[in-house]
Amino acid sequence: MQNKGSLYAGICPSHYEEITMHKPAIRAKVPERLYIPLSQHIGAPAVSCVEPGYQVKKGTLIGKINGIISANVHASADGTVEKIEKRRTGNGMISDTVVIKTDPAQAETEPVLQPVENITREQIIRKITDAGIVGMGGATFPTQVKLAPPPGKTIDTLIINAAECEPYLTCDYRLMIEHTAEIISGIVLLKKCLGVNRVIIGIEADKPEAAKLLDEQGKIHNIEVFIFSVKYPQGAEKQLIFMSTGRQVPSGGLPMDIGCVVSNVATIYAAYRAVYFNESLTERYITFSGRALKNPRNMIVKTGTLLGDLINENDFSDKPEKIISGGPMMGFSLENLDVPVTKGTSGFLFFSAQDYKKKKEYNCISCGACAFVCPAGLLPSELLRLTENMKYLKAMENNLLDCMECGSCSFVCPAGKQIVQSIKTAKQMARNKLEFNVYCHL
Amino acid sequence: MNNQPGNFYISPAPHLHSGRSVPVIMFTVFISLLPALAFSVYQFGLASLYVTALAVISCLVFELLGNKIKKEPISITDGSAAVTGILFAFSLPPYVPAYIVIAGSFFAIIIVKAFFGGLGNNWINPAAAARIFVMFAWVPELTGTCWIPACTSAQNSFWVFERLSRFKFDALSFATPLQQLARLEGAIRTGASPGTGIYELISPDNLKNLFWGIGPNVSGCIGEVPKLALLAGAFFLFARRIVFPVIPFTYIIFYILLNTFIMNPFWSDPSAWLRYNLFHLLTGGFIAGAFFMATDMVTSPITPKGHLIFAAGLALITFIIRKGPGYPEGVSFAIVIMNAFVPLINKFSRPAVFGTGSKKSGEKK
Repeated sequence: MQNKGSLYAGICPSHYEEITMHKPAIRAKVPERLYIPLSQHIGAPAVSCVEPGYQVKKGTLIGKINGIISANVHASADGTVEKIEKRRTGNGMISDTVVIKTDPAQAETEPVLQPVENITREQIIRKITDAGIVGMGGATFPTQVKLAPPPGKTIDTLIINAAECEPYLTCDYRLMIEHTAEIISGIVLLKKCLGVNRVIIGIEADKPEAAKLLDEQGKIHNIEVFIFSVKYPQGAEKQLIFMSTGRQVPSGGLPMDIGCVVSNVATIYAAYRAVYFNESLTERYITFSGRALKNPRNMIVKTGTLLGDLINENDFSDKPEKIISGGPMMGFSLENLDVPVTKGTSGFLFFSAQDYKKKKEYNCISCGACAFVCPAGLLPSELLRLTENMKYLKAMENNLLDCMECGSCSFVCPAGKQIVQSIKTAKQMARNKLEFNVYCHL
Repeated sequence: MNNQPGNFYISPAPHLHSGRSVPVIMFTVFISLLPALAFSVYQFGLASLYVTALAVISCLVFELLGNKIKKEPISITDGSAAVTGILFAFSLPPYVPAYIVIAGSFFAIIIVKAFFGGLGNNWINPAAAARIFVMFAWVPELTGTCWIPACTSAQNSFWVFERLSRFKFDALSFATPLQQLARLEGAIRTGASPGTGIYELISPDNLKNLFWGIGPNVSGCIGEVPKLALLAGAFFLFARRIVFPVIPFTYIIFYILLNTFIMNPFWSDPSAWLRYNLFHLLTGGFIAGAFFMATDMVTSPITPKGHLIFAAGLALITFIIRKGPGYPEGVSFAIVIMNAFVPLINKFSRPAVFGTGSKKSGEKK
């Protein structure tokens, strides 16, 4: 275990992790209907391979991988496909969704341990692809793509992201406490698959128990545990690499350009289940927290479960004014409970009126707080001004695309500006404008 | 399919906020100036309170007027006008005609701020600009006059009420300490030997008086006098992380360096050199300017690198103006001139973008 200080920039919001940290995760009930989106990852949506009326079992393939950056989607319980319809997911996207009416009696099958002693690299990647594993830290990037770098790129370091820097969320922490040995086995598996010598686990100092467990069990596999003082956004991929190895991912590049692969602990655990038990990714740890909740907790939830099936009126101690899917810094606020759990959902937060304030907006007073906290070294106030004046291409010249949307600038802004939202808009507009310019010149 | 909007509040991420807003910042700055005001009332009597209150109220009224004329939302609640008012009052002598205060407030709020688009869009510090405006518009009222406590028995009394009730001022037309120093230095430069006058001016007793703002031979503006209270306010702002200490300290250090290496009349006498520099820092509104006016967020650069360049420029301009024969002060001029350079400084003091190789480079390319 090494203490590595904290990030050069970023913010220190109140963390509220004590609320759910020490409660063991509860397994959620199988709901009456599952709504499984076919697009639960970055990249092309999976192609449906079921029709209404099909009988499915837990782990049956219902959406097939479509292209390189894509992932399989599986049924998460036994049942019958009712229909395929378009629905909104937690991040506001509309996706084809397979609706499954679950059987009242679910078949209880013991997972069978597969022989893994002589497993090859290709077999591991095959199994991970088949299981539809994506990055579960939030970005939902298909894992098999990371594990198979294109020729010419050599990977020498595997970094495990256990930082969980978003306030409130403790789902990764519970996973690390409850399944330490499995995570270590998963890390060894990925280490073998990538052929790397160095493995670093990056974890924040507010999780000393998890760090101790990982360190004890990882020592014999030569896994280093780096502890960082609490700061947001330390769990961001590029910042974690920089703090662990001192390398900077080049602007516009990928971690594999500098020989690193970063993987979240939940992804590692899913990969372990996939390789050791041939289990596909159909459930995950989710944090339910916030002041409006009577009983904040972590739950193991099947993908496709609607939030409305997990929560009812009795669970609220106060009227929830705002519901967030994901962490409070990067999550999306929801307009209703009619949202399915996906592979990338890390939590649901229920804020009562006193947890958030409707911000009053003032003019920018160029205090420089945003530039001070920006982990990407940008001038958010300047990008905001350019965006407000619709100078998107000029903003592109000022490294607009290097923004990773962590939200630190909006967090500190005394003028109450929605800086990160403006930057997200600007990115989209700049892309459209570029395409339009190219089209005009053809 | 239930896609009805619920009763939940929708907003973009992030859903947390630090809680620090523009009014909070302005209020903190205002609070940090109150000890200086209290000290000044102790020294000068209620007159300084009247001037400050008049400046703050007229700034607020003009802000409201500006909002009404421009048909924009009322912005007096953001507190910036009140801060401008108190800073402007601090740069005035305690017995100043009311019309000067009101005219200065008009200039600060309407011409400098409202004409350019309100809070955040003014390119010069309103308080510094207003001070310069009134200084040139009413030269006899504001220069060459020192307000010296007349009643020596009351002056030595510790009790505030006694001081207030028995306090009187004599308006004496003689040079401010900095003017005296400039005159004496000029004499040295033209070949005269440094007489006892200059040593008297920078004697430890005189410096102590200047620092505490109490005693005879101390003259100046409302906010120039109580240095200790100003510094306490400034350190309160540093502790609250409202102001970064880069600007004031760079300003002071650069100024001392310039004072040491260029036209230093005290090469051979280090203790006199030290007192000479302290004298420069304790007079001419240097402390108030460096800690409160130069650090104004709106009119200072964004990054610490920019702050450094800005403060170095301030030191250079203050030094040039003070050493020149015409005018002995120069802090407010330096601030206003450097304010004009802020966009340029911002352009050349960008932070290193992560991943462009300009920060600590990776082990491997």
